[in-house]
Amino acid sequence: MSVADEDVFYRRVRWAKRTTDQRSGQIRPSSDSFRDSTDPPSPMSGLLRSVVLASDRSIDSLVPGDGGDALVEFGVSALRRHGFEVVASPEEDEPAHAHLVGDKEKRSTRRLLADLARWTATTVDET
Amino acid sequence: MADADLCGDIVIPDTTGLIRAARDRASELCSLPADWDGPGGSAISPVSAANAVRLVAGVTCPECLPASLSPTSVGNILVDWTWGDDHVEVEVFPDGRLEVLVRVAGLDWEGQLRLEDHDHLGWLGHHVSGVGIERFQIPAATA
Repeated sequence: MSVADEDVFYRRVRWAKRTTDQRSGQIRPSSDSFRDSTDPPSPMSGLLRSVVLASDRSIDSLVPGDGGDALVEFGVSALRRHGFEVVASPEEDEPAHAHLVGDKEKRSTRRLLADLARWTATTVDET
Repeated sequence: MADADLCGDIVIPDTTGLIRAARDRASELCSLPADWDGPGGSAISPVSAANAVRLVAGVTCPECLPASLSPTSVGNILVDWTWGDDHVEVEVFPDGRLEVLVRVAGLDWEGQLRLEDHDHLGWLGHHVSGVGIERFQIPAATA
């Protein structure tokens, strides 16, 4: 299944992994939120907006209400402009599952993703 | 207005306050449960947390911004100073290794330094103090 440029790639991040831009006062996800999986090795996971909405779910439902997670989003076209590819990878219990393919070994690459990310939803806890 | 009143407006950041804040945050992160990042995750290394506080103490200056400390998936501490596009971020390892990214004043640098190397800390401190240097620049007068 091809992924349209207009689609949105969502990524769940741990709320504890946050940093503050001292100029704007805005809280941002840290670069460590954007690593590939290691166990087992696979590209960074996320969810596709088009498939979430097609399955009659709200975007807010993507964040468990346990207080530990937040959701960030990327425009697929923006990711492609920076050399990444978004590949649909539906799973049995999550049809919207997708991978962000591209090298994330360099710290500057993960930082680029942190700078591109925009908050979608947060559930704040104390840490 | 008397000169003494003007002096009352001068705020000198408390360096020890910046270090104390880093220590408190490191202690908070150290107490995260082992599964804070999901099943099979890594607890935060107390040695990495202590090293992160040492790093902040080693590079923080009165004019420096406060450091943000956050946990990493492998159990280290990420120390970050960000001012818009300017930033220095350092992942602190238990063995004293520092994985560093610097983007300040036209410099883009990524590499490894050592916590116990005074020259490395001096170089890093120079760039940390440069994050947000625009705060101190006087706007050009308009005609």
